[in-house]
Amino acid sequence: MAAPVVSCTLDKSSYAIGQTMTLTITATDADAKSGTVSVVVTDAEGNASTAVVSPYTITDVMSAAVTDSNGKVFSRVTGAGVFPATYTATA
Amino acid sequence: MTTGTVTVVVTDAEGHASAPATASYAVTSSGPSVPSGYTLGTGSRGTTGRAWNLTTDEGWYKHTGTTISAAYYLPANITFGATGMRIRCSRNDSGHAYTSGEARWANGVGFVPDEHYMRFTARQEQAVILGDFPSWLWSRKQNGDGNGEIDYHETMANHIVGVTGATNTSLLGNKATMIKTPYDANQVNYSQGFNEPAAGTTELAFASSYHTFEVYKTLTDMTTYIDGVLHTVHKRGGTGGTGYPSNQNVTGMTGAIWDSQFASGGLWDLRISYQYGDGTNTGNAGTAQAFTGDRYLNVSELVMAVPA
Repeated sequence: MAAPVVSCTLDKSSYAIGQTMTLTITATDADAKSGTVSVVVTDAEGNASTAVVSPYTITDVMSAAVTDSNGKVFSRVTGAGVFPATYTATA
Repeated sequence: MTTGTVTVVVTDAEGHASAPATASYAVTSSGPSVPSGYTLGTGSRGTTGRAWNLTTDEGWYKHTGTTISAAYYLPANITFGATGMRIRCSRNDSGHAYTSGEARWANGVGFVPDEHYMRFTARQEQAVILGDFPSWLWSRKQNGDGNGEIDYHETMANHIVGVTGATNTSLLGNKATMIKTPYDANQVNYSQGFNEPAAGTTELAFASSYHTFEVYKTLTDMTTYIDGVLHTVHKRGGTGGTGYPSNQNVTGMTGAIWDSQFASGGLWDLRISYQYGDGTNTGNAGTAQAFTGDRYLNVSELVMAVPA
């Protein structure tokens, strides 16, 4: 059970007052993975069936908390739980 | 000017919290900030800085024609909007394998002096695939030839060699601050890859997110910061900079060659381009990395200041 790994970037390093600030958040979680289960049945004579393969996906829903040292409020533009995520605020 | 920091913490369904990630910014009331000692106006050397408004076309020249890659430049692939300049790279079946774009600020007219501060923020909107060759910012002398070309940043899939020195034909790399002269068989290059991939790995993390480059070019050196972190220092007569050497990091540029190209009062124009699939430097899209959908280079910030 691993903690997510996150990075974030702004679309500019310097803004004029009133400009839109766009924040992109990228997050990954090692717990989220996909795989397959394979089943082969063998009878007493050793005859094996063809393999039946079932894919699966383990998801781990993540949520982001965004704070700003100047109290700016960043609003989420992209859907909840979807990463990369985009947030915007006004400079 | 107000400065600030955004902090992000991501929590998963089990309540595990990530380490905080931060991004810093400045807010000004009089246009973009520039470092102390530089100006956006007319400086002490008689040249003038500029902060581009990339939400609208301020007069960029959009080149039409063939490239050194499999893409063909079309002006229609260059657009301006809320996120800045975007250059589309698209699959095309009407005579060219792909189309893309190249924007030049002062085509054939010298604009960038040999002493300057350059800042640009950009991203590749999709993760890099084999064949990608977006050039976030580069420049050529006003006569258009490659002598003294400065590549502030290019992503060249299939170009960077790994730290083992072997060519990694399936790897993806970025290189920053390449300066080269002369542009012929005797060419001497200075360059640095960053986050250069080790053998058997790929470098996808750098793409998709915005990154800010700051470059200080003086008469004797060229220093690059990426996201506020010192990355490369090229020095006149030096033997390269910091970080992993790449296959472009060739020693041997003498002080005299440096002076003739980078400290003789020359002027450069600026270029932003997206090529695709040259087969040699960047590879071509293969069956394992098919080219699906349009791909975009997005430049959101571009500022050039000159010595005050």
